[in-house]
Amino acid sequence: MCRWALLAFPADFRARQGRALLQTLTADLRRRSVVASALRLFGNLLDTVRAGMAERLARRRHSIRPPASLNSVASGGSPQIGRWLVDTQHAWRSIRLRPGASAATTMVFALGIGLATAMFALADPYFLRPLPYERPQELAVIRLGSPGGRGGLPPGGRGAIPPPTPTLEAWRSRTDLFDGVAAYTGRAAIWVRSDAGLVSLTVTDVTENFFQVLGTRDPVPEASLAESSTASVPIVLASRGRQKITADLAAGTLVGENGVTFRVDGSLPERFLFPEPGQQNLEALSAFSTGPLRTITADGEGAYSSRRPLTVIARLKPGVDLALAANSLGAMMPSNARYAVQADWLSDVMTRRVRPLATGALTAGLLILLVCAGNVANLVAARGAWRAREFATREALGASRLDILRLRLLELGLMAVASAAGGLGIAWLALAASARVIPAEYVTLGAPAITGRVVTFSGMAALGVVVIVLIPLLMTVRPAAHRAPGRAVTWLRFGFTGVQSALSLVLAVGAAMLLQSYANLHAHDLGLDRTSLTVTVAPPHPGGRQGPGRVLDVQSDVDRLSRIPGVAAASARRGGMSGGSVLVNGVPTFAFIEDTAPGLFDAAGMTMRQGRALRPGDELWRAVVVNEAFAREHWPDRSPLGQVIVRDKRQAEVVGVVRDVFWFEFSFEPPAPKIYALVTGMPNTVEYVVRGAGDPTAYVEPIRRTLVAVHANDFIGEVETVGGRLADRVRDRTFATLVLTFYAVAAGAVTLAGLVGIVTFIVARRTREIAIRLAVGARPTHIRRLVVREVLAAAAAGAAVGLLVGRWLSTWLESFVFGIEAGNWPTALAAALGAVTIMILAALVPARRAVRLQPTVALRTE
Amino acid sequence: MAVRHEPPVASFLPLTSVVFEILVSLAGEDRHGYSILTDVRSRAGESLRPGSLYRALNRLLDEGLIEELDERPDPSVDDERRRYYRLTKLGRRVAQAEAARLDAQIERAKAALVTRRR
Repeated sequence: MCRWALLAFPADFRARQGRALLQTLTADLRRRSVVASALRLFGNLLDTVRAGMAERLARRRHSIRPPASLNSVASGGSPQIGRWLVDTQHAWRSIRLRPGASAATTMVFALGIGLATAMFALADPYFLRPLPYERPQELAVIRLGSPGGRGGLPPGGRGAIPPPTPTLEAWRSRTDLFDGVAAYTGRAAIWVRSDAGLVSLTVTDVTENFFQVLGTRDPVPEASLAESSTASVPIVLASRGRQKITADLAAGTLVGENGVTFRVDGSLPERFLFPEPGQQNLEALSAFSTGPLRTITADGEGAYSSRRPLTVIARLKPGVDLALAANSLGAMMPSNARYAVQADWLSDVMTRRVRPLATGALTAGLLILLVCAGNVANLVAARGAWRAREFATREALGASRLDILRLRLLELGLMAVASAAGGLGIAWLALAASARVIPAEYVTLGAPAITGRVVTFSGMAALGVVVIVLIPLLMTVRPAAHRAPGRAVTWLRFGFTGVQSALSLVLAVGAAMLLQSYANLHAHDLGLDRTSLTVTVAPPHPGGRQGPGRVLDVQSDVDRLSRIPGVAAASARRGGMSGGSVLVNGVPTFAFIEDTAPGLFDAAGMTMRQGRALRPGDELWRAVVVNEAFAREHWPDRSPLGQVIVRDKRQAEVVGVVRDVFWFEFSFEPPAPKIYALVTGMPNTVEYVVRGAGDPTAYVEPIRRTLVAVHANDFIGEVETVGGRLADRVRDRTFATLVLTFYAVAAGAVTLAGLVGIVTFIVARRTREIAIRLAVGARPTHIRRLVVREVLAAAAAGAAVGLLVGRWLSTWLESFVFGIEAGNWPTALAAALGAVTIMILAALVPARRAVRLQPTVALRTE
Repeated sequence: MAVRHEPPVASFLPLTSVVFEILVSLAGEDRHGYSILTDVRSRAGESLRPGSLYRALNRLLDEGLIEELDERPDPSVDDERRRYYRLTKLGRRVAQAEAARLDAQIERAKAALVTRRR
């Protein structure tokens, strides 16, 4: 770029000072941030071009001839460059003469570049940045999965099982395949005492060669983790854990809730990336052989249960690919094994979850760039049409068509440079705004930023748009206002307006739906008290995943929780969803059944619609409560109260109807029909629900202390409010919705701006006809009607197509939007009405301008 | 031996602020372009850019107010694309004359402002 800018100087100047000037331009960018460098480079380039032009003009004015020795160098392009310089001045003057039109074109252009650049920056970390390990392309994740379901499964997810430790040892012996095999376990919380009282730390165990296999770039205190000690368990804190533990404790020992001592052996480097997607809640690492989790979750034979799934990471030897590794390891498995070995690249596993969003962002960026190019082309064509008279005059004065083309190219070039710079600014603003809402999961591989690659993309995007815009520019070089438009041209412009109208409508429908969905997400009534607190308690599974869990004495826990001062109500529900076959109205049907302790509705803030809540004495399927969805489905025209539901030959009377609520199955579907039943004990996971007066955070610590006192050897989750937990669940959706909404609104705005351009173009092409009509006595109202009618016809045709496409789009959008049904006609019609109104307004402005023209002036363009 | 006739110092005055700052920058020591740029910016703000600087340097070379040096520093600390400049005797006299002119101008301005205040 700097070399190109140097071309503004005369050749002898370049021969004398060129290299030194280039060196200074480069030196001037050092030791600055990327953004500051980009701004500085832009300013320096402008100044270089300005100084070069000034030098040339000064020489021309004072007839400065280059020294004789340099004449040979200077002859050649100098007069040509002089002409370009004069033309550049003319182009700049022409841009300033029509500030409104120039600003509109530049703004549409800059908006397109800016949005495309922002989308590119969003996708950049997931497609182009390598993982921060040595030779990341050699790292693979290896696991066991059901033979039919290859890939796509999270470690420990349904269909994939953690390899037991003997298998891991066997894999590690395959030095012919791997340069190293490491593993880490799933997370679990440990409780430690600190100055601030008891705090929980989420811990993951890693094998002793974990950092060595990964090839981390920053030094990691791994040696100490490998030490085995019976007196204390060594742990290394991640940055999140460091924030939880006060500074004086960070170097010493921590006493765990069960009396285990943890020795803090150091901290992970700030930039360390744990090789697991969604690793943002990692707080501490401990050693595989000595870690605190082993005592809690290992089963009798030393193999780890499913609560502690292993994820194996292997560094493949050069020349070994995924298929070879998987097949070789598969051959080591017993012939009757139920699971097959799966191998995936670590980079794929790390980016899998965010890849759809990144791909979507990239596609959206490219689409918006195309829409922008089309609209800039329209605006440039409209600009050419309005200036037909000027070009005719220039031709009459002797300018060739090439001269006019050069002038217009220069105008476009100047606007492209301004737009690329403006686009970078818009992208920077968009990224700064997105930083506030982007979920942590999306930035684990690096936050989107304006990097050198992003700046280059912006420049290339501007160049791409210029290339597309060249087509109408070349078509309108010839002054064409005096030619009557042929039938083909009339149909073409009708089609063009219609397509624009349809496109803007589709985008408007999409944007309206997404905006409404965003509002719904935030204003959504869950049917629950958002300030109620929940905490999950899970006993260990001695027999592994398939084995029975211990039955918790829920009622005594609830009583203890109720005794905490300030607590208004406490209850419990069985974690997860269970269901079974029941007889309703004598017909067998599947129903979701929620096992609860008494007082759940009160503790969770759920409203009774009819009848009463469950109370002691209703156990053993004597009485149940159903939700509204269940009542609607089975007794649409009868009262549900007093109806009977049969399960395992036991009859339960429906004693109440509770409002539909979104529990943690929070989804975009309406709540499912559900039965609430009272139970005495609950196996496996239990979720306690507590509602207190005043600030809910005041109860977090007392609730946890109460549960820890009883469940020292059970897993205890975080104590959270219902609102906070749901906000976490919908954060991804909120972000995806925000990105899509932003895109749709911006694309809609860009398209509408282009529409204004095309309508202007249509009116400009009819200037002569309008002048003749006025000369023969037409009234301004007739002219206005004429123009609006033509635009309206195209707009209506486009709107019809747009509505159909928009309806199809809304079905596709259903998975993204919340609380809106597909084919939402009021939204679509409102959007259509808005788009057509804007088109008519857009037509009225040039129409007014046309009727104000004196016929003689209008006809003078001939 | 041919005697080179230098143009009178007054014919160069007044100097533009960029040219004056460049001459002042070279008055203390010989410098290369980027060094001049950073020195001028440290005294007169960030407004000077490389393109304008080299245009001014080229003019000063043509007019004989500065000259380019043949000797170069140790290559290990040097960039071979750099060019080093030194103030000529004429350049020093012109800069001194400009400083005196500015000084006189400021004195006149101060006197006028004091008179007006009374």
